[in-house]
Amino acid sequence: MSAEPQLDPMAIDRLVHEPARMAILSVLDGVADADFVFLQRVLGVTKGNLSAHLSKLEAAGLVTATKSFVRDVPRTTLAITADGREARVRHWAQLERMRDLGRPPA
Amino acid sequence: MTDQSAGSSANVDVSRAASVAAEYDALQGYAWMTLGAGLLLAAATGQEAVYLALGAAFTALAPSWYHRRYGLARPTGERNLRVAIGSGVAFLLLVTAFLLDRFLQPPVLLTLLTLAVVLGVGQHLMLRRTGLTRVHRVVHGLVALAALGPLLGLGRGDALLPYGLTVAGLALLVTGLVDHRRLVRILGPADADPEADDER
Repeated sequence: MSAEPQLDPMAIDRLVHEPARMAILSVLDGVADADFVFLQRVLGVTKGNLSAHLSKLEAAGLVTATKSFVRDVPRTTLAITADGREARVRHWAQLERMRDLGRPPA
Repeated sequence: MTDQSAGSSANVDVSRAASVAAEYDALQGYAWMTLGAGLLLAAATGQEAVYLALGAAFTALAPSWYHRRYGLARPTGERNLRVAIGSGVAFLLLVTAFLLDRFLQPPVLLTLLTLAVVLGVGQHLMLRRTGLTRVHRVVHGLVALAALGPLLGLGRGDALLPYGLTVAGLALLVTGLVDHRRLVRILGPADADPEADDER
């Protein structure tokens, strides 16, 4: 879905456009990886909310989730994929294009 | 809205969240505070090696305090490389300035002038997205002013090392406290969510 070229100048990638998912991708783009707890704290979202958004991003191949145990405590480490970076960049470019379309002529 | 999971996420500040995540390592003020405390103890007791080693050890342990409370975010390899190179250059500059002060005894302490530049440039680069506060800038200015110490009879001869350690320790303690408070303010109180374990 998000990997397809957007030919329609008004088309928005809904998967990436949602604020929390955009924030997740933006946070993960600036780090090597981050765990679930950090994402929850830095974004200020609930566990269920974050989990739902991450599931969608993971299903689309935009983030990867690695599960492990640290001192018997489960830890999920998230990282953005190359597709995720590309989708984020493409989304911002699309928003710029849409802004230009709505700009009054000089 | 068809996406039901998006309901409570409208207030996410994307820019701030991304900035804090990218500079999480530099905002962990306890690391700088423990190093600053080590420098102050080294200056006060004259046992430089002992307290510098202790300060460095606690500085290395400080990130685990944040990881336990706020989770883990690892910096990119590129950022790690920049920090390593910057730290190496800063160390060399400070040692060179200290040796010049020691042997040439200029009226203005090159060590503290260099420290002011290193702190100013280093913290500016480390916190480029989050930004520096007014306190950071005041501290950098005061460190530069402290370089005039020999004109007031401070930091001359054998007093150079304890004077330099005291100024550096205070600077790290204050800026570390400011960064720690900023981070805690953004991420919330450490005990705000005692069940902040991983549920995925």
